[in-house]
Amino acid sequence: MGFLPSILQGFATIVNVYSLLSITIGVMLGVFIGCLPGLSGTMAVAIITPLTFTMSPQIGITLLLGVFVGAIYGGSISAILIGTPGTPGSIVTVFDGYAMAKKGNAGKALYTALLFSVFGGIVSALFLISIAPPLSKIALQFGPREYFGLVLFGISIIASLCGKNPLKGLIVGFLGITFALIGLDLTSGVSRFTIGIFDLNAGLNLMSVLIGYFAVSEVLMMASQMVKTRRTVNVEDKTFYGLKEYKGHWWCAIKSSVIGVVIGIIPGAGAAIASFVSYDAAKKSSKNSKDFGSGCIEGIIASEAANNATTGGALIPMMTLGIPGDPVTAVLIGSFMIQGLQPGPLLFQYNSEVVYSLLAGFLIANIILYFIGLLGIKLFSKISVVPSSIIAPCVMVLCMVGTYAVRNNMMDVIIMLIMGVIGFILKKHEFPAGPFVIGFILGPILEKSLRQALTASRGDWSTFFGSPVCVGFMLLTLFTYLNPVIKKVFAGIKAKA
Amino acid sequence: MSTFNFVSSMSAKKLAFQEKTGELIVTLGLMLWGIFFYWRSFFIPITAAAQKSNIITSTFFPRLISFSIIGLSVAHIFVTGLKIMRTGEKDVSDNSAHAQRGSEQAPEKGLLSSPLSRIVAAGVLMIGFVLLFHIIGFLPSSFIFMLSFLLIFHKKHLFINIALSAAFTTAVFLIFRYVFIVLLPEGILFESF
Repeated sequence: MGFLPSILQGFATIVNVYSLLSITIGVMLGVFIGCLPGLSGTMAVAIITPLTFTMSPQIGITLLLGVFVGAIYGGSISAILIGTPGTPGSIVTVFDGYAMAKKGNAGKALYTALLFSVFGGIVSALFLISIAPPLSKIALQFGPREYFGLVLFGISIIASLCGKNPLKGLIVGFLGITFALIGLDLTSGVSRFTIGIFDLNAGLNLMSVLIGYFAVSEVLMMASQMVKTRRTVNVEDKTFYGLKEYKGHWWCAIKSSVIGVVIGIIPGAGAAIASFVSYDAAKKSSKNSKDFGSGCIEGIIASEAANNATTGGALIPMMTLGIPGDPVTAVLIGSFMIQGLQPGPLLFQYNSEVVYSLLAGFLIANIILYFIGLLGIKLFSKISVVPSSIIAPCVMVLCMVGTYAVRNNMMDVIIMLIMGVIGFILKKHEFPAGPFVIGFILGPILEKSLRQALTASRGDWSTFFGSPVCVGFMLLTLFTYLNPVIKKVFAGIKAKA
Repeated sequence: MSTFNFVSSMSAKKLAFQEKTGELIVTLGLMLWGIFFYWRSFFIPITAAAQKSNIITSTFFPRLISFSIIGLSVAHIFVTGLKIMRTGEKDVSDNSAHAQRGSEQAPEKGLLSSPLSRIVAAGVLMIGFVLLFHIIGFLPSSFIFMLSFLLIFHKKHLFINIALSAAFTTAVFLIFRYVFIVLLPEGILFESF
């Protein structure tokens, strides 16, 4: 079946009461969790995944896509109203959104964030729908060597995007790989690092690791930072503005959305980086650059269009190559696998009906977000001030149920707790969280492709240099590692000159 | 420079020093994990066929990863150690967010005044929750955990805390049990009845 009939078939499959209801619930849950400071989109998807076990893939995954889309937008609500971003992607929204709220324009700031979150999301959905299917066809040509190069590049780029300290990112990434190696080695059938515990032969359950690392650690983080604060929010009655209010800002929205999609595609980069880059680009090209940071509407547009545009961007490498674009899509890989879907090029070949309906569902989720956001602005504003002393125990109860529900196994619950402590210690000392989960997912793929390629070549390592794609990825990996050194050398030369 | 500025600058440096020391300890822990992982790789059984062939065995990749963790941790310890030694001239700007966050928060008095005591309290509650979850099942253990957490951290009226805990745990139980048909543990204590 061609592309157009496939996508139309996808829409036909997804437009039914159950799917639309699940998307709507997903978006609502996403906004609800996203607007609570400290609860990220990754955590939202992780704790809601167990609810989808008994659902069909179309309903379960579209619900989670709704959560993903809703959570990224939800982060902007608390960013604007209380100056605390609900999710990392909304950090930049604080600059102008909170300034507008302080001036008494919270309603307009919230509506702007909603409108351009939806705009960015729809742009990214269109990119996803048009890029993912042809890219998966290219990826189908990839053999173990090419996959090895691709995954190696994926891991290296994570480290390079870990802010000031790539070393920390790399260590955490490799730590994630070590945890993924626990259990039976599927190639030789021998057990590794199980220290005699039978339950570990099946490996660490992905959901236990993810829920522990992202959600339980956050409960501990909330407990450590818990202080008595009373916050109130005031939103004016007018929360809807016509399109003419935004005349002259659409170019900024388009540019920011494209930046968001491109950054979303890069493995390891996420909504936070996208919003920073697009905010900077908008500031540089704006006539009102002086007003940025003091309540400029363009600042909110740039940040929100970009951070929501990363959602579709991040889904492109995840669905076509099986490489997560960010921590949320890493969790989504687990959710896909639980539903019996293996993200990667074969997904489009063997589950095309499901995949196209998910692509259609993602676009619909962005449209539904507009109506949910518009109707619920006042309600979500109230939720954003719920104290963390109430949120933390609720999250912990959901973590317990969610983890136990996967396999009805107490060992999973214990692993969740251990991962929570590890995640907390690492986060507390500013080790980035993203590389861990990406390492946990990519590590086994890296080992598998390495061993497959070497088995095919009878142990000849030069096989990796026989594939131009693999060589290209290895060169890119080398460049990623050496880039900071090269930059320092050039900076030194410039300083001397 | 005023006395206030001098004191705040000193406390920021102290905070930065403490954070770097903590980071060093964590990295040391990660290095030890790498060493442990490398040591445990010798316990991986290797099949005779794999030993004869020149293709990599099940131990190759884990050892490569352990070496990488150890090497990167050593490099990070070296860099962080240098930073600690140079704390006097160190730029503490990357820790300014912490200092600012600390200054914004009003310190709480009593047993849970320090972050460490709050973490320990939350940790004990979590471990208790896991144990009770297994012994007495989901509904009572979740209620006890939530109520204890709220009493310690939320500190509102007892009745409100009881109502909140009961409402939330019952709602979660009903949703998981009857909407999503997920079996929740009844507890080994009640299984025999």
